[in-house]
Amino acid sequence: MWTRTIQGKTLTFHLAGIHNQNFLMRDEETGSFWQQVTGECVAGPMRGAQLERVHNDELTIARFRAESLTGQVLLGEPGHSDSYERDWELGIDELPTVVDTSDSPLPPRALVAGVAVGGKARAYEASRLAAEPVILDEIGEVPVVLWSGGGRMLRAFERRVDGKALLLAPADGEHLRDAETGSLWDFRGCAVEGPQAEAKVCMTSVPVLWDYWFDWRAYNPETDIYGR
Amino acid sequence: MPSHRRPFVLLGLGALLVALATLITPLWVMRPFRPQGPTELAVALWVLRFGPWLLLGAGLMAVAAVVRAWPGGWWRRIAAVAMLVLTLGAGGLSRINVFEKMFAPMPAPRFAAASESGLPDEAIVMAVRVGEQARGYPVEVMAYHHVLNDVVGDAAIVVTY
Repeated sequence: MWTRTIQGKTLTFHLAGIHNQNFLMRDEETGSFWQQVTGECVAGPMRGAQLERVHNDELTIARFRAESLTGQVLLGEPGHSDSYERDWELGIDELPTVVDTSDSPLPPRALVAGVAVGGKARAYEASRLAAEPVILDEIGEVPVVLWSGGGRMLRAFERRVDGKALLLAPADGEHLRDAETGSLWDFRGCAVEGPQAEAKVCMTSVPVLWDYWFDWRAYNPETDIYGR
Repeated sequence: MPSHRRPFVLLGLGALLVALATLITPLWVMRPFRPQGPTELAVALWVLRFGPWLLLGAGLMAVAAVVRAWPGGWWRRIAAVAMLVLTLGAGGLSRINVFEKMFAPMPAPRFAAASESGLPDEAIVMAVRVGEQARGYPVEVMAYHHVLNDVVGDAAIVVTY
């Protein structure tokens, strides 16, 4: 998800092509081509420009509703309801891939959550995240916490307040507790009880991209894999 | 074969060839389930960018072929006009965005309150917040349309999947 205002222009994007199984978009205003997964302009008058990422989370609609009382949800187009499949990924798993990952320990269509921060990239296998719902890690010297809220719901935060890394552990199903102050933190990454709550502290979100291993690695060639 | 016959045939065939190349190159290079090398991708995107000019050139060549063929009698007229029609046909087809035919765009997205979306509680949305405004884009909808231009709060964003 990207900001589409760049260099003073607001662009309108269309699907326009495919590059190694990742879509290319074209903007109406300049006719330039943009790689969807990286936000980079790869051809045309704006070649080399980089769109700015918009932070977003994959949440269940129940969680979204709970966090945003006035939140709105996109409705499907009436004529296309046949094309909407809740379990479409089951079918796509069978499709061939075109990027060679045979020199890595994961199959090309292994589902991973990719995190890139502090100049480093790391992939977390979906199976690993399911087994270990709260992961304290450090990527490129940035202390992070990855917190699975069930299913695909996953958030990552920079677990650092006032320059000090937080040691977080599950307190109950809904909260983490930090060892330093004993404050409780909710799934939004905000302190809701204890000394940190009084200061209304929220951790900084770190973008997470659910992706297939082959695609994540194609755009993050230096990535490593958590726990391997 | 008299030598004055050839210019119109060459012009007409040249026009048709340019129009067909404009139509086929991007489709061939960017067909799914194969890797795209940097050079072939650059060529395909160049053809997409400058397609209108290529087609203008092809159209002018095809018209010139008809003009040249006209004095030569009915058979030459028919041949030249046929090449013109095929050139225009290929050119017209090349202006269709097959990706938007496969995955329809959403030029006028509609929204509902989260409780009135009709989706089950466990459906996944891509959630965005800008200032006070929060919007959720159901993955099942975005996995089909792939691209959505939207404005949330004061930010113009493009939602991609």
